[in-house]
Amino acid sequence: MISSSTSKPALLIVGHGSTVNADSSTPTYDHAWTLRKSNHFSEVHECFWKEEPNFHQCLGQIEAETIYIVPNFISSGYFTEQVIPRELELEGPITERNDQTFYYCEPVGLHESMTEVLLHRAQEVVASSGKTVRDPQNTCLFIFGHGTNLNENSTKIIEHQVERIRSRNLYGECQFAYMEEPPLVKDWKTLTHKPEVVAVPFFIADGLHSFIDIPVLLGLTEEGQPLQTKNPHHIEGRDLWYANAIGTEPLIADLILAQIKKFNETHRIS
Amino acid sequence: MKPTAFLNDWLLRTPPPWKIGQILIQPGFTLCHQGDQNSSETLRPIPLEKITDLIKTTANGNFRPLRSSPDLPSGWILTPLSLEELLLALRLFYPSAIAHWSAWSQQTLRITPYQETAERQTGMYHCTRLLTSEQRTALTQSVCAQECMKKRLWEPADPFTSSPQEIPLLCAEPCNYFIPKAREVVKSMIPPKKTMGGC
Repeated sequence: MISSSTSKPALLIVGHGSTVNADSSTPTYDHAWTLRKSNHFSEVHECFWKEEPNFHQCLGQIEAETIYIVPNFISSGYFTEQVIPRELELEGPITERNDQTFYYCEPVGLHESMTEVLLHRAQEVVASSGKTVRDPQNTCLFIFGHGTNLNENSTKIIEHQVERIRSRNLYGECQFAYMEEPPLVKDWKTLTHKPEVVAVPFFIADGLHSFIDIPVLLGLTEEGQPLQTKNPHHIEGRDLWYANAIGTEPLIADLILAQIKKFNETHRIS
Repeated sequence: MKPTAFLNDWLLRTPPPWKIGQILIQPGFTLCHQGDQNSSETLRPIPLEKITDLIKTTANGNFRPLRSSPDLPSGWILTPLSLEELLLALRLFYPSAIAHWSAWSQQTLRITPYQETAERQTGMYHCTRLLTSEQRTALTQSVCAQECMKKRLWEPADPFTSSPQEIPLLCAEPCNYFIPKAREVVKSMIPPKKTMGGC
């Protein structure tokens, strides 16, 4: 089941984790298991900012000579540009140290194939409800993000994905909305007038934001109350499908491989 | 010597059963909770993939942010495991433990003092460099000593001697559970409305 080959590279998936939420690290662990079974790597490791093993302590566990490091983050920013390189002592995209070579790839959320992952999740949340959208051209697909002045990259990447989805004309509308900056998630009923709405939260894990905050903003539940109703939610004559966080989608494991392939092409690594 | 070779060498020359944290390792390899060593027939066999669920919560369902907290649920058994699977399982139960122990035994483990870890912090944790040595000692007593099974190698270090059949859990650096606690202490010392050091 687990390859012991030392000639294959190792993979290190870098996640955020949490000191209060058990679900935060789940997607990173899940993608690591998927990729262990893929047999592409001699070792697959995970490390976390808020859980163990932490970034600074994890590298001593890795025995392979070549190590691909892929941040399981939805965008670039403070963590991918400052914290991870600092804690892993990386000197750039390629770092050579003590007979090991570290290849630092871009975060999963930046890969162009994220568009397919978003569309798959939108399709899947509807299919798993046992219903279908009556008319895709009369349906709005929302991509929800946090929105913050601290990191504009996270909104840029969402807006970029929305543009790509719009260009395919699969849905009558595709829009972005944020928790903390306009256009606001809480205004979804006026942002679109389509009778059917599918919403995918652009978060790496099902944490406080996607599980509790956004359902409250959507009017699916009240503050402090767990989400009780199932998809599709019937609100003022409209149907709303609300998906799990995009980072929980199993296809993200493919994006990790895709980021490695892209790194190899960019840096001409065979 | 790398962690896999070091573990294999130690297993060959050390009589079983072996221990690490709250886990018992028996030849084969079989892993179970030390509290379950006399009830192996009633234990629930689990696949390796289930470890990641097991390590996250206590028997009462509370989150375990520290993998080395002394509240690992019991009632499960992992068997049979190859050496590579054993290493993976131990890495998931006790991250970095084998690598740290291997490096410590070979006198190559890098021990990072609190101040060095604190100086590295940016953003909201920048202020953790203001923690005094007295506050740090008090915090290790209220956090590390109460919530974690690791032996602290950074100051104030724990008294520690290794036991022949036990793999020690070593703490080579203040962890990211400790640093936010340090921030809370520093923040509590700063007068309201005054910002200092990124807190």
